[in-house]
Amino acid sequence: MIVSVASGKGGTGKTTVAVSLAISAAPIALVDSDVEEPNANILLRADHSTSRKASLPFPVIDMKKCDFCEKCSDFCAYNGIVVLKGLKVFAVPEICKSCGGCKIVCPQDAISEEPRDIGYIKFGERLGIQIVEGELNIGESSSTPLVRMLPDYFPSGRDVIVDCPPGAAHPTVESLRAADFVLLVTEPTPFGIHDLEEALVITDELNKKVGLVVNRADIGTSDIENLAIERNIPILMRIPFSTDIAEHYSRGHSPAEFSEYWREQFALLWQKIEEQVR
Amino acid sequence: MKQIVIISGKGGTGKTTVISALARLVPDKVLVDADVDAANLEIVTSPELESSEIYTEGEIAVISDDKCIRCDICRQNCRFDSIIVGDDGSYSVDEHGCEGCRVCKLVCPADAVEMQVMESGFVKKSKTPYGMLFHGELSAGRDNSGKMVTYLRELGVEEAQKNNFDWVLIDGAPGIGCQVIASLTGVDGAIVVSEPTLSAIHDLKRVVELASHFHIKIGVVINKSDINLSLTREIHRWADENKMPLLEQIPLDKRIVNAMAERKSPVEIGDDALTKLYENIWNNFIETYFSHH
Ligand code: SF4
Ligand code: SF4
Ligand code: SF4
Ligand code: SF4
Repeated sequence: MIVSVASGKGGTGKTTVAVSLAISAAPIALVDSDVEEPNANILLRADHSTSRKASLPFPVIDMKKCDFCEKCSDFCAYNGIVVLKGLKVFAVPEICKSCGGCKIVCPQDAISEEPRDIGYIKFGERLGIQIVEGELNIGESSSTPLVRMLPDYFPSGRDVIVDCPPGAAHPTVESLRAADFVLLVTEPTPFGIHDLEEALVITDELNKKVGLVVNRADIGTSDIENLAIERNIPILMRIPFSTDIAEHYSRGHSPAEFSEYWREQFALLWQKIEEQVR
Repeated sequence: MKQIVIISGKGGTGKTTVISALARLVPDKVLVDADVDAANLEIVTSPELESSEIYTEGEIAVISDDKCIRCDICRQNCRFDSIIVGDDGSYSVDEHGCEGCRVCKLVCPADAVEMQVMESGFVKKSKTPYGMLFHGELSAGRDNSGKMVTYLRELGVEEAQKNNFDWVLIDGAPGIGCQVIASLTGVDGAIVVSEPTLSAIHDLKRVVELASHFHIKIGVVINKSDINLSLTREIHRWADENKMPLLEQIPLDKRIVNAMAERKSPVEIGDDALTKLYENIWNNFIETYFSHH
């Protein structure tokens, strides 16, 4: 079973929920696909036993073959390759999306590809949780390619919890694709509701089963409860606003690690998810 | 005229709280919401929509089933795994995955692929009690849009120049991706809102490293400063070492959380001492970097 933990809005406690759930459901795998700001392992604290570079194919031009016909730059949909007539031809790392089109289009066969690093995929284990973590290099503009690589590294023979990127844009879609169930973590504020509705657009389109975790459930409005009833989405857990949880979180401890009570609550949450999927 | 962006790296540290306060405190400015994936500034500024335009960006491929001979060449060449083969063997394009690279059109032997311009959201101009607001709305599932952010900022700058305003305040996106890069490129200053948690500090360092590539003047705000005093000191020390002023520390306060839930800014709670904290953020930032102003 693959469970993706997402939230329309950042900072709702998505990572805290994902890690706590993993602790209570272990042995399990936890995949951090919030590659711009991977935080799951700050809460899990596994040593990275291995890591590998993630790379994309990047065009390299053999100037001995090139005749400056400009077919490559005419083709590229992103202006990712520059032809300086008579001087040189080069692809721009921040812009090129590694689509491979210029290589196909070049009549002189002057373009080949070399791997260009965009980040890392790191592996580790602690508390019976195998963690797979993507980390995007600073300066890379798109996280989608790295997010797309992660399912290849899902450990086999274990259930998987995916900690998704915040928001409802393309990297989130990619993080939800493989999921059997999507757990949406939200908070009862106008922001939480606004962004939750965006996330639901995607889960509807992808035809995913969803459930809600309402964090800081005792603040703000009851609109979220109404929304859940209206849309027929089960609220699987409510977490109160707690300075205790906030303090532990600040030091990198998730509730399921420091408290027996929360460990049980998250075990219960896992059971409910299993029932929903069945 | 100067452009100031409010960013945080990690979501949920209180960036929107800070900008909601600054929107009320800073005179003569234009507001820009550059977090187009989760546009939240409109929630706390009671905007009245003045105009809205459909925003198109990029293209997607569309396969004509009439012409397609089901040769599979497009699927083999699409690096974004976005060609879908249906149960009936028909070929189509996954519109969420397609990056509009045109490779399928290039390789298709049957001329069955057309490129179509994509509507990826709206760009809106609204009047608020605190000045004009330029905000976008990215359709769910579209690629994070650096270009929409750049466009919104251009509109904001134009409006500020027209009115001879001093400031454009930009609400930045979380993370370090293209929206953030587009929020940072060419701005004059960045106020970074963090909190004393290991996660937020990790993200703070990553976003400041990104910002330093752009030689931006940076000031730091520590929100919820009392949830972990030793980490608050660590952020303070780190800011000192990197020659960034600590603009203010704001303790965790349930009144702030409740105010935001009611679409109000903390400066509307009516606690002068609290309002002063938010005034300090701005005044300290201006005095450090823009005092000749
Ligand atoms: S298409 Fe090939 S030959 Fe033509 S300019 Fe590009 S690299 Fe050179
Ligand atoms: S690989 Fe694609 S995106 Fe990169 S330069 Fe070539 S055509 Fe442009
Ligand atoms: S345009 Fe590019 S990304 Fe889109 S379907 Fe065709 S090959 Fe794939
Ligand atoms: S390459 Fe063209 S003809 Fe072949 S499957 Fe794709 S769309 Fe159909």
